Amino acid sequence: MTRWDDLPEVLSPRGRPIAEVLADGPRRQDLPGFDPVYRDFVDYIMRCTHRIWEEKNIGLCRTHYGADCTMHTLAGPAVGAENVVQGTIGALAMSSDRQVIGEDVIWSADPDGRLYSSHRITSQMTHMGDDAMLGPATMRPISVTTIADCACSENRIVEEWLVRDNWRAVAQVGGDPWALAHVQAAADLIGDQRRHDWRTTAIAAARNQPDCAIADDHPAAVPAALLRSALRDDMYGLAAEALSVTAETRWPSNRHGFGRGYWIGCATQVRAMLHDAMLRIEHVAARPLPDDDVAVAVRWSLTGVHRGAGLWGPATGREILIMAVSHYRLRGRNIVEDVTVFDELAILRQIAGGLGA
Amino acid sequence: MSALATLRALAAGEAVASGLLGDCRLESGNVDAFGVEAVGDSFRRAPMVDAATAMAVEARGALAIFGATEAIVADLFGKTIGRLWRVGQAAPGMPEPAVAVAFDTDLRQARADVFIDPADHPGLDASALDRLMALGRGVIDDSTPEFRTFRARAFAVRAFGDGDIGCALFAIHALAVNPVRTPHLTFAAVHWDGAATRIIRDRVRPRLEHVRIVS
Repeated sequence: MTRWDDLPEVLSPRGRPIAEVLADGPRRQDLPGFDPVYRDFVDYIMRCTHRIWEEKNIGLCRTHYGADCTMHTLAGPAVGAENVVQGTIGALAMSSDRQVIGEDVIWSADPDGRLYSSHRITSQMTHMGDDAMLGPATMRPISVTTIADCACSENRIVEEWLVRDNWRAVAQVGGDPWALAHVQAAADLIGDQRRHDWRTTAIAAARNQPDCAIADDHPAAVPAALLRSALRDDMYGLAAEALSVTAETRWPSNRHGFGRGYWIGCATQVRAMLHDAMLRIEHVAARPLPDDDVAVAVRWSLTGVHRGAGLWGPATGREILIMAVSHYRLRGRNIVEDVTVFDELAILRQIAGGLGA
Repeated sequence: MSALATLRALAAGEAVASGLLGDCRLESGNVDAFGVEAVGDSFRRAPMVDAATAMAVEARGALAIFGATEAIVADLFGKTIGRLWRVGQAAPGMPEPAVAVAFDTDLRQARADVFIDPADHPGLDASALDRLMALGRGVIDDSTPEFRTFRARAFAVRAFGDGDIGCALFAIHALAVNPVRTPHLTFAAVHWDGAATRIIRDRVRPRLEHVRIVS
């Protein structure tokens, strides 16, 4: 069993130039079944992303994704490596100059034998081509954060949870996310509605399945307590005591601020919309950072009935699902940074009646 | 090349071949530039005019330069710049839309004005705390019209030094004066050296780009 701070030679990319991160060399970690080019698990994630997205060798997805891999997003799952190939080609046809800049890879060796990575990326690109979501090319710059959580085995991603700040991307190109969500929702109502069954299943899982196990001495116990106290017990002030008094918060749709109060503002803004809410913590990982800081990744879901009017318009009574990943930086026992990503455009799409019953 | 030489060259708008992390973020007046290319482009379009002569202060993991009207504060990883804040830029550009968040800065009836947790700043000696608190109150002083606010709160984001010499970066959440309390987020850089102190602040710019999702 690998502890969160074992293998210190497998470094976070934080604070390291990309030339150093991608430098060739001997293997630093036992990786059975992985291609020899990969030195350790962080290198696997950073290097294969670079080879696929920046070197444009998209066909590598066929040897890096399982044939029946499920990629979960809040807009619905995609299954199979061929769907990943097609989606990547489409994304690069729209933003050919995309730089997929990795900010961190927080990983764990899980009890099921899989290696699990939580890869935070802020992509830089130009809206060069027409796109289903972003519309006709505007040639405007886009800078958007994604977190890809990947369960991996023998050189392949066998399951992925992908959260992307799509509201921000649409706003950056001058689009109207609210109007777009309604167009998407109208399209969702056409055709076989069984394709949206995944959302019902995911809501049931958020309501009925327990949190993942987190040892008391694991660094993730701190942010897990933060989320539980706030979004489950509604004890926001108590929850925020886990944060530094000057903690920096980045939440989706360009929410950015400092201090415990700002974090509470983000949490209550979302929670106020959802009655009978239920939080589930699905996965955690942690790794050491430079200067004795610790990086923690928490994948979580929140579901509730949209009975609160406000942020997302008049109450609709729909049950809403949020799939989120948060990356925290801890200094001592204080959370000093929270970068949380979820797809608020896909939430608006649900509000507008999309993505099934 | 030292981190200071890299920062001076970058701030002057020169092309910098190395010394900047790929995920470097530059923040100035609520405008973000992310990545080497975008950060370099930002300075090329609007160089800091006195970058070459600006007073410098360095510590392990941190660096700042103070010019006549602008300051730049940097996070360092060794000799490599990892993050930048440019404070006092006159025309940083148009911020992108952001969802407005309602929040209480204070969490208490007895209001506070400056927030610092010394544990967040390993490079800050305890002897600097009183001075840092006083400077924090200085960055939210609204006695001049261009900095007038209804409520301003300063958050020490970076700080290093001791009672004699040091530097800090404050984020300032504020509401505009009545009748419409428009929110804004600005930054201030402070420096102390003996009896001398410097404060460079962003101008108050109401965040009109703050939007409601449902328009």
